[in-house]
Amino acid sequence: MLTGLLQQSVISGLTTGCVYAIVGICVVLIFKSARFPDFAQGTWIVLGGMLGASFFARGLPLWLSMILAVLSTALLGAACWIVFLHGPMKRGMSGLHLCMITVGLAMGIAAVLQMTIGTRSMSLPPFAKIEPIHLSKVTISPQAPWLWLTLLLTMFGLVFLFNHTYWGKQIRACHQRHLGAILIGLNPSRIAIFIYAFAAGLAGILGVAMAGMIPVVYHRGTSLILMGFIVYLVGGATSLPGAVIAGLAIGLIESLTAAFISTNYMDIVPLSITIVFLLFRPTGLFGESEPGEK
Amino acid sequence: MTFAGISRSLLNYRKLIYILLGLVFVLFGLLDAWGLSSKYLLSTMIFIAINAIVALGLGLLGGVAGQISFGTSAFYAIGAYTSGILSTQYNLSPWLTMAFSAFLAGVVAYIIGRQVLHLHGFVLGVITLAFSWILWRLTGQLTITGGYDGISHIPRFAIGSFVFTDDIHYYFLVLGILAILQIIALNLEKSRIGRDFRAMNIYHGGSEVAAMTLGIRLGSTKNLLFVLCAVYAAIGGSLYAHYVSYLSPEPFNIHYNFILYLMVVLGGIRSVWGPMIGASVYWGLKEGITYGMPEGVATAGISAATEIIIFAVLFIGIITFLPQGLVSVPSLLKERHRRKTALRHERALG
Repeated sequence: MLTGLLQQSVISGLTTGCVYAIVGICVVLIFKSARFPDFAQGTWIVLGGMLGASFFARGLPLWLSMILAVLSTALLGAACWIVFLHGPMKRGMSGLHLCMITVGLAMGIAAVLQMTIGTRSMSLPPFAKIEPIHLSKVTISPQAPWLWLTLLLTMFGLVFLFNHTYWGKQIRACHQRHLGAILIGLNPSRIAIFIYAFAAGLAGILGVAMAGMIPVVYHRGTSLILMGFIVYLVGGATSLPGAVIAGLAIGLIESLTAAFISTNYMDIVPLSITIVFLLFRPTGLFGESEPGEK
Repeated sequence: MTFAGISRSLLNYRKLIYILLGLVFVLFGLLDAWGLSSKYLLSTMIFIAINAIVALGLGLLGGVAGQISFGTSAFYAIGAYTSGILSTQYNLSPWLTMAFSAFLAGVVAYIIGRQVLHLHGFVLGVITLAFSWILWRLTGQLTITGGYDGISHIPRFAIGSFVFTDDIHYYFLVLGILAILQIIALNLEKSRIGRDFRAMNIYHGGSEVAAMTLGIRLGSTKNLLFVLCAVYAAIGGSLYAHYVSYLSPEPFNIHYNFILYLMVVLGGIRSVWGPMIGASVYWGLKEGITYGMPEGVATAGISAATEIIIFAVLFIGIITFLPQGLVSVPSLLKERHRRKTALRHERALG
């Protein structure tokens, strides 16, 4: 009995861990290119999920509504970056102010979603029409493998992008030395637009994949981004592998708490543990230095 | 004296303008005493004053000293719930509960601050955000806070047999406390400690390392600030609890931190007067939007969403185009005036 519960909660913990890991990856990506944590990432996830669900509800086929949702999330992300953040960033505004702008952005987008799509929670059908998978003692929801696959593909995609493509090398150059990148003829503010669009698109993919398992509501972004920030700090602010490990670990702790302590405390316990961890190791798992200006 | 002359001399006395603003605060109260305004307006004014107190603490910590903290709503909750629990279950006088809740919040802030404040920048921000989230969730879970049902029948303040039941009396009480706290903050900012705060503001030309080399004790100064912010928030929370007489977890959501930052940024992030102005403008606009909403068109959800959208745009706009907030408008105008007259002189000369 106990081992069954343990196995079940490990499986579901890994699944929520995937969600947190991808949110963390999005935040890390933005931090790598722009050097401030972005509050709006949680909202992009919700936007992706809700757009996908409402396209699907209008009668579009599942694959088309998913692609449309991801593309429009990426485009909207790029548009928001150009309108609200491109100028201040070019003028060299401090990270605190940029972070505050994204707070405003997150609140605004959530409110727009509430107004246009509504307050009800929305979901998509699972990607493949299969029954829940029963192993000996464990039941796996049909959407969970897709989430794992999303995380795996994201990881390999990013490794490929950063190590083997010209684009990725440009991004890394901008992250290492802003001025140096300008000197060798790169345009960091233009690259930042692309990264933001990329991160928002990734968040959109996560949103669509998540909506197949957990219904999405317009205000879900806040709790997602809180977890995303925690993952980003625990992982070490600029480290992508760190974000993956931290995300999975926090997901595991959360589901173990829910199984063995109480579902009421399922977000309180992991948050407390990470606070204590960060007090002793503010640079996180793989971080070189503390994020933020000194 | 010409109009330009008068306006120039007014611009030279920025303080005067602020005092006038303060008088407007009082004036609204007086208007009500004469029966000229509604009860609704008065309760809005009370909320402005309470929020100004909470925002003032955040303004010192987040604005003047540049420490990102999203923990204010947690201390606001500590203040409100301590007051609520002590006065309903132990029948203590609200004065005592307010003092005790401020003390408790200060102690909690000191203990947490000791651990947290060697961090800076975004790590501090995220940790305090998580702290607020934990506390908010706990208020909904624990039996002592009444869970999601909350606490009701919290008594009002009283001196002897005089109870502050009338809103107008409560307004003057809150205003008096706000004035005292504002004067403390002003003096603090002008003093040596205030200069220490500004020296370590990494977002405004300061530097923590440079501050340390100047002999500023970084740890204890930060801790003092954190405690100060917590005490201000707890006093605000206590005043809130004794005013609305009912507590539920909802107002202590982490979103309240963002609203507080909105107020501080709106008024002027580096000014001690900013939070008061920001709180007034925020609540004025909020009530204006609710009032101006066409009836029948808007359900409660839509009107709340519209409000948030307007504030989000305003927030982004202020940060982008007026980073020093509304407080900086007179000096900006003055600068513009000076430049214009200089140009005119130049033209006249040649």
